[in-house]
Amino acid sequence: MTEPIRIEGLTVRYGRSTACRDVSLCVAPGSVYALLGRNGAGKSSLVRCLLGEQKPSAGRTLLFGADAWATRKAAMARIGIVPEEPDAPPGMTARELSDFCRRIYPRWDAAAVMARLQRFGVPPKTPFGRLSKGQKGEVMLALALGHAPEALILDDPTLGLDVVARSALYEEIVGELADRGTTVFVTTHDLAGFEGIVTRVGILKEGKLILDEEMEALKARFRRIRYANRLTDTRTAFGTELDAFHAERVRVRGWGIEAIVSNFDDAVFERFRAIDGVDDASAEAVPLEEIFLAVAGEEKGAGQ
Amino acid sequence: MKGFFAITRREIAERRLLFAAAAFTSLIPLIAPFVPGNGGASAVDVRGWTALLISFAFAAGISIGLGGTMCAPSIASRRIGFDFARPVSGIAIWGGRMAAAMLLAVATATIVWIPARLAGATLPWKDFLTEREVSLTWPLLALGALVVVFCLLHAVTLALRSRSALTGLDAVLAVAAWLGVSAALSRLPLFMAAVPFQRAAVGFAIAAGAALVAAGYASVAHGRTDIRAAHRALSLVLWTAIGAGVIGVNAYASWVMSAKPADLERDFWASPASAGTWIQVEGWARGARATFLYDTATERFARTPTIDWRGPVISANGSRAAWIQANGGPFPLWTWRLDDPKVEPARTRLLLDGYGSLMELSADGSRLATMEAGLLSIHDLASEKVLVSARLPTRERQSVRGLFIDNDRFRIFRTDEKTFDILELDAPSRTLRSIGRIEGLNGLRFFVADPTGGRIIAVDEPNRRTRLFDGRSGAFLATLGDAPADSRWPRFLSGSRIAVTERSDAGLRLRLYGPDGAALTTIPLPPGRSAVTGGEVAPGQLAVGIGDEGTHYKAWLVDFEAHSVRKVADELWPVRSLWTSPDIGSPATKLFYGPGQRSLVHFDPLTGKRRVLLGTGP
Repeated sequence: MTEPIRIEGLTVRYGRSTACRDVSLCVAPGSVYALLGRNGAGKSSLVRCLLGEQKPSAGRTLLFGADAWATRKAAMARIGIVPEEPDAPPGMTARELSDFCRRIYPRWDAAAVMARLQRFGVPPKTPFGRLSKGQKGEVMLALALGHAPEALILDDPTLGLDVVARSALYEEIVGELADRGTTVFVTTHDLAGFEGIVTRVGILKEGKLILDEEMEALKARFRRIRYANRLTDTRTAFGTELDAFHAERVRVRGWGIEAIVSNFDDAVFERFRAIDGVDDASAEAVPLEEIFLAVAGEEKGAGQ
Repeated sequence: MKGFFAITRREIAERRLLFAAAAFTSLIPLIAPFVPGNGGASAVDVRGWTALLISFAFAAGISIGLGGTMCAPSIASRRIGFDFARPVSGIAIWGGRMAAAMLLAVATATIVWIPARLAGATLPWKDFLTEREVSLTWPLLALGALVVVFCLLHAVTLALRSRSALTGLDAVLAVAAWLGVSAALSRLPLFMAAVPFQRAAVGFAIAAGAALVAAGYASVAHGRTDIRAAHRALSLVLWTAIGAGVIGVNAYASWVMSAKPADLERDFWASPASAGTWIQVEGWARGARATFLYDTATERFARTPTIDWRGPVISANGSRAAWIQANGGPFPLWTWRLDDPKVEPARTRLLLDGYGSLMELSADGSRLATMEAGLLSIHDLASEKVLVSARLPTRERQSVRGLFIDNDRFRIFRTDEKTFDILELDAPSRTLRSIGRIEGLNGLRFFVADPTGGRIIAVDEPNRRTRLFDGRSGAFLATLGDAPADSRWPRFLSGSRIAVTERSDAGLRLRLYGPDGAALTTIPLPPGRSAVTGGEVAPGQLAVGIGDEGTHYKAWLVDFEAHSVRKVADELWPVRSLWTSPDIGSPATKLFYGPGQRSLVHFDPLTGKRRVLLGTGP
């Protein structure tokens, strides 16, 4: 089966600056891919290329196996999009926007759109320009799902949304996944919100894809290790005992050492615990947000 | 097309308030006649003009306003991404917006017009245009103009919003394109190429308009949500197309202007020098009226960019030509040594304020007389200086002709219907004086002087009366014909004799007179509608063209001594010039126009040999 989304050697340049460098990734059918990155990492440029809105400087983006730039129109009939900035003609109401879409999509479920808007509590007769940011986002999500797309592309959809709006958005996405197995590609800063549904994660840093991995494997190899250290005078310094791990981030706390490691292994951890002077060692799973911070944050390595 | 119509509909729906504004404004023409200060215009006219003005304001305002706001700001803010996130093509996104703007412009203009029309208003210029122009041509032109304005504003706004260095390049290219087109278009009028000028201007305008539309499409379809990419696409398409248009217009202009005598194809008109093989020839070539100096022997030529009624002049000895170059003024004078194959036409330092009402070369071509705005001047062409100028009092409806008596004296014949003054400008003494006058003219039709200026034949009413006068004093010498006649065409022959063709109830006749006007002989000519005298191809043998009731001419040879007339060719008629008398047997006496004046033919009536010089001959 053709992957809904595939990116091959994507490079995007703006003059002398490079937003994306040779990025390649693939999103399997029915999966939820979260592309993470700090502001300015190149996520939006990548999404614009993915949507056929911008021509890559090099490489290509494929939607359902076809070049997104060249075959954008055909691909858009199978894709739903929630942009970073929810924007639509400001004078049109949500109902009019739905009517507009009904004329251009081969399959458009206006009733489902209106039902979603009702669930979100969006007034259908208020011009789009007068809606709150959260309501605008909800309108965009309702429109994105109106033609039962095979894939959803969400560009930071929770940006500026309150807790209730975010929650409604997650529910709709989860519902889509449950009902139809829609492929989802999302760029987001709301790592906690998506953590439960993401199946694969990519991290962009300064335009380069520095991580692209299944969520399960990622969570399996990342652990937070805490221990008190009798090997040093202060108990809060550390020496060579962490050498067996690849420590992404090490912090000195009052009670001892805390390290985020990216190559956790039970056997190695047992040997670590057995080191004389390492007391009260424990290992626990790390939330996606911390993995992201460890990988994409500025702080790195075993420095104090 | 679904996307196109959906976007058109959406854009119109978003601006539906414009319809209400137009409907409200449409009341203004109805109350306009009651507003003081209409200058006495009728109520219908006031309504018509007011409605037209407001309609125009709506149409133009919407094209300008939406041209600048509909697409470019959406691209700059990436708001257009809403459309690109749908299964809609780029052409539908651009075309739908443009169509919506045009529909809004036309619909609002119509809404404003309808109440005034119902109240009896009509288009103010309806009386001056044909029904087709009112109903089709002008509406299409107006719509085209609205489209171009919309696209132009889109291009300008996009360039400004992109804030890229390309905007500066756009400005440079716009100036270059303007200069390039101006260079081509400004040259064509110099060659009197009004039709090619119109074709080139209209063609370029259409190409530029199409380029703007295509560039607008490219900016949307290829720029999508990237304003700088949109600007690049716009500039690439626009300047490529405009550049091609500029090159095309220049190539077309150069093609028109580089016409050679061999390209002449119809409406030939030629004027030979009295001696030698040079002629002035004009006709239609490459869509324009073209004038050449042309050597019938060597085929040397030069195109003279002169206006149609002030062509080049050739000296009587055929050694020198001069012409006034057509341009915006002042008008430079050009000369050309025809007797030296190595010499090219040269622009002199002499500049004239106008094309002049008179322009004559001396017999040897060393001096030129011109008259412009009543100022008669003699120029020395070797030194490129004005030797003498004199103000010649002018009267209404007068005409002035003249000729050099010698290199220092220029004789002027100033006439109107009833008076005929003879004056002379003397260069050494720098004096202009009246030397004679012809009395008793009644409705002068035309006159002709012999090459020396010594005799004048004047044809006036009644009955095309034809009389010979002394060219210096104006004294009456002889009557060459005063019996009723439909036409009389006199001609001084090079041997000083005078030939007059005459058409009357008695038919066509050729009368021959001596230098003093004494009748020598009358030779009946074959039946025909008109007769044209050519030159003496041999002593006493005159070529005559006789036309039938249609447009066909036959060439005849009249032998004065044998008193005979014989046909020498079908479909040929001799080239003639009232004021020149070609030397006997000279090449100029053997120049004929071919059928339908579509060619110029060298034909020897004595031997029957013919050669097509120019055009498509028999």
